[in-house]
Amino acid sequence: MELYHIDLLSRTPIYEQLYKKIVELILKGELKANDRLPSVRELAKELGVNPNTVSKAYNQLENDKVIYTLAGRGSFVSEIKTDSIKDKAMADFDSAASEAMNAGITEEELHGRLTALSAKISEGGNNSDRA
Amino acid sequence: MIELKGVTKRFDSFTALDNVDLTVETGTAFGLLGSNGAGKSTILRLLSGIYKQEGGEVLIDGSEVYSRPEVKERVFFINDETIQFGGYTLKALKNFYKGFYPNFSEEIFEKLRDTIKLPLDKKIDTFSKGMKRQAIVIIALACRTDYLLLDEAFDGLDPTMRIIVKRMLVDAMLDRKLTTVISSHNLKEINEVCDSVALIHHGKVLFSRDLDSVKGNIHKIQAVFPEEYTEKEAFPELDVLHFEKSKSVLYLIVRGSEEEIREKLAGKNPVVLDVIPLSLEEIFIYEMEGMGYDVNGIK
Amino acid sequence: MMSTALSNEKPMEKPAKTNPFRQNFLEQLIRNKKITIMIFILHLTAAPLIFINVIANFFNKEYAEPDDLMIALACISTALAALAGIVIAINTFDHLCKRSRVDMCLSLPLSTNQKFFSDFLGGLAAYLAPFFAAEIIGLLITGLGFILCEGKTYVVYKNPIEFEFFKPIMPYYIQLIIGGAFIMLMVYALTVLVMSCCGSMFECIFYTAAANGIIPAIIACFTYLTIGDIYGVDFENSFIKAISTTSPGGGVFGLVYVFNEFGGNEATSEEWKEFFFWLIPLMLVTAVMLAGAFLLYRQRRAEQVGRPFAFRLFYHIMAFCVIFCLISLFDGAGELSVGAFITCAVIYMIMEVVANRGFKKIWLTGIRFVGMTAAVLVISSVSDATDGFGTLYRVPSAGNVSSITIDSRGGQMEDYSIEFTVKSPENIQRIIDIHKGELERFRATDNNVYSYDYVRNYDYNDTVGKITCGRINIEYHLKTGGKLCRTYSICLDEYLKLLEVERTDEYKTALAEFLSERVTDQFNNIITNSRYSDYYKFDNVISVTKLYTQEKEYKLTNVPDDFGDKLAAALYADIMEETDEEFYRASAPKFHILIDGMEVTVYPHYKNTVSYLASLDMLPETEYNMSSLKRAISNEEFIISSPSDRAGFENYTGNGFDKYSSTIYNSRYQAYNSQVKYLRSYYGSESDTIAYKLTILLENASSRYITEESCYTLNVSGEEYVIPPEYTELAEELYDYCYTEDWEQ
Repeated sequence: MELYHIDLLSRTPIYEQLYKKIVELILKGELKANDRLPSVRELAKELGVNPNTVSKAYNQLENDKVIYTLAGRGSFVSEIKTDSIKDKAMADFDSAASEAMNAGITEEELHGRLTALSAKISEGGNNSDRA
Repeated sequence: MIELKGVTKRFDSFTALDNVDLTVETGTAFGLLGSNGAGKSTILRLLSGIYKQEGGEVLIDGSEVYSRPEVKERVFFINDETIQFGGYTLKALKNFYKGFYPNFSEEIFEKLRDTIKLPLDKKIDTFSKGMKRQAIVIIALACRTDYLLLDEAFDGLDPTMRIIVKRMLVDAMLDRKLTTVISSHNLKEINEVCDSVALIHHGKVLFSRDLDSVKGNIHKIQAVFPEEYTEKEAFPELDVLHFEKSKSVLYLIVRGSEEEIREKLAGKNPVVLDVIPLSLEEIFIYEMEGMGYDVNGIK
Repeated sequence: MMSTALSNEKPMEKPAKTNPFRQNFLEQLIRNKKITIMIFILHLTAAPLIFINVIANFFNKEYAEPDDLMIALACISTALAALAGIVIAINTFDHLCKRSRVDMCLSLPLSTNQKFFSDFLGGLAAYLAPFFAAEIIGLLITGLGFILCEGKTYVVYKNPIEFEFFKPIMPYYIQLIIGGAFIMLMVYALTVLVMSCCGSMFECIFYTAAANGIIPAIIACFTYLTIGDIYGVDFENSFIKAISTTSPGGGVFGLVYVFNEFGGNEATSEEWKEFFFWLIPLMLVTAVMLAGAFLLYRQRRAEQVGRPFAFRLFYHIMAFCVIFCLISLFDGAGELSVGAFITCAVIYMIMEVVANRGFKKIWLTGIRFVGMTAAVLVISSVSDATDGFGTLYRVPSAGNVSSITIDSRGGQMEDYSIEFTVKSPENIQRIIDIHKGELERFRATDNNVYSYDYVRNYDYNDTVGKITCGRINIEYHLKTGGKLCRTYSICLDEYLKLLEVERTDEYKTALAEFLSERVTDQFNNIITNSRYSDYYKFDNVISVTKLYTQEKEYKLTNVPDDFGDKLAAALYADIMEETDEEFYRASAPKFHILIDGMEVTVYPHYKNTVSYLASLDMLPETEYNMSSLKRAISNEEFIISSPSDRAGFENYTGNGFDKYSSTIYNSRYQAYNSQVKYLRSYYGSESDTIAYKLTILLENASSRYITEESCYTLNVSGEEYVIPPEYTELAEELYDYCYTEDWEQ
């Protein structure tokens, strides 16, 4: 359950954080295909949030085909479609990179940054994701 | 579903609510925000049938509330005082409410009571302030009404109790579509618990929509422009609530979606443009400022 | 951490059947628990304790009375227990005046009506249940009393006495329980009514107390202001009914009044009638209070709690009543001066400051005060101008009268006062004529009225008041329900009409029955008492007296056993057989039979009585005893007055005063007039002549004489007789022997 930790103090809407978190977990392999996700009820109670918020995140995930639901049984991780996830991740990267460049950061600096980052990830994994 | 349609409430010459429209969907949690005296408690009291409105309709599932027991037995109101319970023992207070609310669950009451270890046979005025709150909250939860109205009721609860209550609410919302209306100053809580919020000010509803769209509809802009702008009137295309300039960086609080804002500002060719979401607290403060209620004016 | 143990509500069980009305009712019972117990104990120390006390007294001291201390305790306890109703009402309805109770009470799933009635009944049950419980115990104790003591004989000073307490007390006890319950209901309802109008605790308490006082006060003051000085109207009696049924305090007074009216040894059906005549209006007024409280309660809103008044009008009404009473009191004391108005203004100002919680809009206060004062003065003026809104000259029409009860002293009723109800249309008309006649006189003499049976003496040239013949107390019983009561001192014309009434069969039968019953009862009393009282056995309990003849006295043993019955029968026959001539002339002095102090007048023309007494040799002597007569003369027992002594009246024709009867001259009149002249004689031979002449006069003086001539009158120790015209000469002769106290002639 600790997997699903989100930052309640953050300014990002909760359902958005939840969505991203679950995607992250899938991408990292913490959640594998056909793994059962906690029920809306369980997750809402655990996180101390409105179940509708959790439902909203799950609905969005289902719309985006990241998860699928079986009536009466729960929600499960879909077969990973790396492409779509990758596409989305790329789009996110683009957006962050252009912001950085607009702020005056040079292409070289970005390169260097990427190198350092990938070194860190291969070492141990960086879980912090403060927006 | 709760509906307030054009509701006006007056106390002598003072208009507490002025032509208020609000809708709360069944099975959701609704937050009421506003400064003190804005009218939040008035709304809750209208919904519990304590007040009668001067104008408009106060409807729960299509029926007026005032003096209608068949509606009121589906509503439980927890107000922000505990003195009225002082003379009762917990047992007596439980039995009192049990006789009025048909869905009362002895089991839930007992489970809750046992968990937080409240004594049954001691007078409630011997309880600590927190315990007094807990007493009425567990009774309210045990009554299992379809509607729960909380007037700053969370504020007196310790973290353990808060978790217990929130979990009860989760189950109730899922199992019987409990609808909750919460008035609170604790924005963190509103953020976690509520689907929608309304901001009340001087008896009027400033906005009322689901939380996410509230957040999605107001942003903080940090921008640098080639030209120098010194006042918010320079941005007539935007709904600017707040304008600050520090050297070359402009800090604006603007209403609108992120897309909209980026589009509209594109024309000014920003050198730097950050669109940042706001915390609920900041939203509250800036909206109020927009109304002329300037916190920063108080030094 | 927290497991999901508190989770998942069970699938919804069928909702329980709740009864919110019952729940709220029980809640109020529980909330008032402590007071209920206290009330129960208080009531126990009243009637039940008294009964135990009486039983204990019987066994200890052998008499049938509770100790005074017990009675005092009972009164105090009952009063406290009754007042506790106010506390209960305030406690029960505290969501009307305590902010902390509003949310909790008004959010309950009850409609306004349900809330009101479950609250009302709950508090009422808490208030009355202990009362009934205690009185049931009281009834059980009376049962015990019946078994243990009632009817048992005990001996006091060798006289056997029957214990009699519970039997006579039972009807009163029942009335007390019923009446008490309704009075308490009224205490409760009135408090709730006041609370419906008020929003703060202070106002609730203060104005409840105020209302209890103001209601009787306003009735008394309003009645006084309008008909307090109206000729003929008994101001006090006219508002007794209103006061005793419109407020709890008045109710207590009314209940006690009902008891006092009768307080005899038995509560007859008449008394039950009186009881219900009091109770039913009281119940109606209570119902009105309850209805008012309910209707106002429905208009109550949560936001009114905390303000002094929910309905300002209530306050204004109360304030107006206060001002009204103050002005009336000042007026009544004759002190309606600037100082009085200033006092009223100050008091009103204080009320306003308290009610407004400050000096808000003082100018409005001033305007209101002026307005209210003006209203009171207007009412007063209009009332004066219209003679109490037409009360003075109001005479019911004969068609609307079902019967009239009169009580007068006059005619045959000189010596007795009997209450007599006329029903025949002729008599009704006569009395209406009497009433009208007196009002005419009143109107014609510029509203001069001299009440009571004395007359002021004025200079001869002054218009004098009236010379009264007797008082009459008229009580009309109207077909439309209700009564109209008047009391007048009537003059000769009306008096003669009254005598006509007395000549009707209706009246004669009533008088005959009254007299004969009294005689038999009194005689039987003597016989009963003689069983255990030596006085009644051996002393002279019966006597026959005539003016200055030897009084004849008799013991019980001297008279036959059926003396009472036979005498009664004789009197009955005499009254029925009396002719008009005999009645109007009533010549020759009467004599009296005294039966244990009760006086029966026997006129010489009462053939049956006279012959019965003669048969027993009990007739008074017909001859006057000379020596006792002379002694009486020297004791100044005789007063002769000539027409000229009635200064100013012998020529009085202003009111058609051309006939007169002796009864209009009574001693008080004489005393007011010039010096009375006592018959005296100091010279031996003269004293014989005087005594002899006096006996002739005594023999022929009339108790009642109607003539157009002026006559002399003879007053014998207060008894007035007319000396018929044919004896005027003789009277004149004796008159010469009359001297004033200072020996002036």
